[in-house]
Amino acid sequence: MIDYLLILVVSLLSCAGQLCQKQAASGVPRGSRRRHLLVWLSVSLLLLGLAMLAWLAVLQRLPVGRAYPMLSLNFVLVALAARWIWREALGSRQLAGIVLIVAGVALLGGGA
Amino acid sequence: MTHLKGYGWGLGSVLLVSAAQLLMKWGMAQLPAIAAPLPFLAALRPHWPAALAVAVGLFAYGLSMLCWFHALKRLPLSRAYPLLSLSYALVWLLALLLPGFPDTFSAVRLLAIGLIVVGVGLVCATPRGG
Repeated sequence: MIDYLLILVVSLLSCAGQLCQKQAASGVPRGSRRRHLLVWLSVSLLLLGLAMLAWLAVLQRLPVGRAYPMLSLNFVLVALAARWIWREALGSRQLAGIVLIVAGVALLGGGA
Repeated sequence: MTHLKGYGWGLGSVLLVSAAQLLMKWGMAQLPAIAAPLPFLAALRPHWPAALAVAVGLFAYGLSMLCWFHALKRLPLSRAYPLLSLSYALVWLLALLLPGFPDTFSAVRLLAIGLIVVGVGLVCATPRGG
């Protein structure tokens, strides 16, 4: 149980880190552009660093061939975030893809 | 030509991240639980090959991100992202073949990774419908 919670934590942290990178690249700065980049990239780096620490803990608990593909959950989280935060399109292909990824991750989580 | 170079950088990133995961796994498996930081840190010197593997793995991971950055300069995100799912299959395969990893073959796991690779391709495809 802890193993899967850890993987979820890794996914959430790295997704948040990626979203901060996206915000750094395409967000509208309120003040100076340079400061905007610096703040968002620093937060991104911190989140990704924490994700890596959690990941190292996961690697001690699960076989890598099973744990690593479960990080594909990130694609689902980023796609959903892109839809909700940046209003990007989530068509039928994306939804089908999400279903397949979740099915694959569920199989792995179930012990595959 | 740009796309070709982009795929080159992308594949480089995939190879590096796969190597990184295998190195980190191999190293971390020999070290005490990282959840107890002090015993973990104390074990780094006596278990230096394992510590070195983790350090090289982290470095390779950093290099893979640099390659990824270069790939994204030449490829649209929708083309680059599916490459990442290749690393899932590559890590699965190498963990099976290489000594020092507990992974065993499972048809269900192969199926799961297949579903994920196809799923990633679909998520990254240009939106249609919806």
